[in-house]
Amino acid sequence: MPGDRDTAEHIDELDDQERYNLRQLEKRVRSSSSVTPEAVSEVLPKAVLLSNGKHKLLTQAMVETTEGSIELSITTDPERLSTVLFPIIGAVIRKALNRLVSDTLMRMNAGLENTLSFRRIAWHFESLRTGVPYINIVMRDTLLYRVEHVFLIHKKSGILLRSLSQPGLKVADEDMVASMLTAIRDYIKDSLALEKGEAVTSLSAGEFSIIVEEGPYAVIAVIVRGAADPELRDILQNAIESLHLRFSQELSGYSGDTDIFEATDPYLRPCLVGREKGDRKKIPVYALAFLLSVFAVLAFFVVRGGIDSARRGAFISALKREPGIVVVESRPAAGKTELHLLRDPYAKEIADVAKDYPVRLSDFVLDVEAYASLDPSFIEKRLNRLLAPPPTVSLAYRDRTLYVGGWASDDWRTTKLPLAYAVEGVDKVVLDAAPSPRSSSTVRAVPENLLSLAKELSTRSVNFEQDSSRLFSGQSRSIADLKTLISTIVTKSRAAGVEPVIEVVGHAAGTVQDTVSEQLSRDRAERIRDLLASGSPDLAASLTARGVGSSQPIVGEVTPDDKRKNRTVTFRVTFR
Amino acid sequence: MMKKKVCLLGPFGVGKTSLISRFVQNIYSEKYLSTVGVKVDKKELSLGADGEVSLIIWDLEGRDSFLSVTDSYLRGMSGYLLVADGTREESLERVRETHNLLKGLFSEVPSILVVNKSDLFSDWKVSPEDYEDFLKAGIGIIKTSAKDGTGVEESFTGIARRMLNA
Repeated sequence: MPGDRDTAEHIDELDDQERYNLRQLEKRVRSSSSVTPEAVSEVLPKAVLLSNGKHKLLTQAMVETTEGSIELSITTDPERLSTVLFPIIGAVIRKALNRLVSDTLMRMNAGLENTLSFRRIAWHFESLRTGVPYINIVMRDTLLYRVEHVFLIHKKSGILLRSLSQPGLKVADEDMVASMLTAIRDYIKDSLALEKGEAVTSLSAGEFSIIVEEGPYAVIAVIVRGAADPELRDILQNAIESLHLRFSQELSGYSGDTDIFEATDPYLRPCLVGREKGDRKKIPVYALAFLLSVFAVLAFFVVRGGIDSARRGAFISALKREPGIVVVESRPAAGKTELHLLRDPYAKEIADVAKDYPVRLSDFVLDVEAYASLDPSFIEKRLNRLLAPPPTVSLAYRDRTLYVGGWASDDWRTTKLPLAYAVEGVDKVVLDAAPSPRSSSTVRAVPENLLSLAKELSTRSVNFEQDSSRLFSGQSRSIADLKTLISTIVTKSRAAGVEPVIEVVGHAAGTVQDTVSEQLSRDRAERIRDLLASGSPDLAASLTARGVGSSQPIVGEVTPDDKRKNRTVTFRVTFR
Repeated sequence: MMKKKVCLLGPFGVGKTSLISRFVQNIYSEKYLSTVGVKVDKKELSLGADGEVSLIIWDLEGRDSFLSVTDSYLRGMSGYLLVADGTREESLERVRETHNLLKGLFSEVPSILVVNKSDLFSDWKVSPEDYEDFLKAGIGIIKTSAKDGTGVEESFTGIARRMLNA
């Protein structure tokens, strides 16, 4: 073929070197083994770079191989990979642990927040003010410590590479301490058969402790006086990781020269930390003052609240004791006390009860409903008001029965008396009976002139000095007039065939009905009875005396003059 | 300054602790102190042209068999002294066993055989032929007496030089 001839001619024109190269080329093209490892190693890096630039196929293809390689490396020599990863994996693990610890602290925080003491309140306050978690503040204030010495020790040999101490402090022989510490740690590790990767990280004796942080080639050991802060461990971890990053070659290839580790001082010095009493914050005077103020205000309200509560309680108890008043319910409501009461119209006014207690009615929300008390004294008052008996008639209530005695007009007997049945608690009216010595007469018709005289007498009164049965001066004329009037009533009654009973009723001022007031009122009544009967035996037979204390005041007591009016005796006439 | 860890190995009662005491403090205690586990001492040496070195000397507990010695203590050592008692033939045998074990683990680490108690030479039960194999293996041999100080300094300076030149 012409082409073949041309080629042969061209080959003939080549020199020896060119012919050799051509043969090598032909050999590589013809041979299946032309792709040699050497050739591939030359082009593979370029091919990988090209592939990464264009698509991810190579990355995907390498996944399984890479995973397999890592797995094989870990299986055969786990330390190799962990050594390589140490500087970065430490930080990752620490971050995760920090988060775990932080969560735990938060939970502890929540628990501790429920407890109270002055110091804890102060911590709570600082936590609120600074935003620092409560537990951190507690730990900061309770843990006092100082790192006195820090050692950088070659892990394998235990040889001290570098050491730093707090100013003025020195360890007797640092080299021996470092080596013995290594020996002791090794001894404990061997004795306890600790796994590879496990290590003794702290030792303690008395107030001192030794805390150790390990790296692949070196360890940092610190001698701490006091109870170390958990943050110290973080500081040591950071230092050992930084040292392994910066001095990786020097540490792994250590051959005895320690001078090169003088450059580690900037990494070791931050480990000389501590918190001593002098480091604690100054007492926050303003915060403390504020806290005390809050306490004072709280204490004031608490004490005042207690006193108020006691006063209100006493007042409510008094209301419960008061006849004609029923305390249905009492409860606190928005700083006040809500009272639901039932009150008989004849019972004491609520305001009058409150007068005897240091309470303000404005501190109460009163809900008062009227009701009819079945207390005999109230029924009797109700009957007196409803029936309006003339002075010659006496009413007595006992055992649900109204006893009526004395003299009354026919009109009163027929129009008023039947109303007694309308009063709750009255089942029966007894006339002409003898329910009591003073009202044993029958209600009979009395001459009108006698009734007028009796009515006239019922308007008279005699006044007394305070807490005494002595008469106010200037009443001699009145006493004489009284005697004349009574004498007339007695004379005319007997002339009409009836026997008058003139009751001298003594009264006492005041709102408390007790034996003292009863005795005083009785003394007053007897004093007047004796004066009227003096020298008149006829009158003495018709006169009786009794005291009602302060139970039947003439007027409601508001002013001193009202009290004066109630220190008196009155008169009541019945006929039999 | 260079710091080197050197271990003293040998059976119970051969005088390791006494050798160290003599070397470090230049004293000798008539009362034998059996070591418990490990004890560390330090001595700084000036080796002339070879410079200065600080020896961290680990005195390992003497036991009849080296097998029971924890290998943790040996990690990172730059040299070791094998100590035998010239008056106790079996002590040399124990040292030989120890040496054979260490050969595999620390083949690059220099060592010296120290035959102690030369002050009791008349009672010696070992002869130079007994430790000839050590010589053939390139291990230096020094006769010492912790009691009178013979060979003690030479033993430690010798191992120090070997460590620095290793």
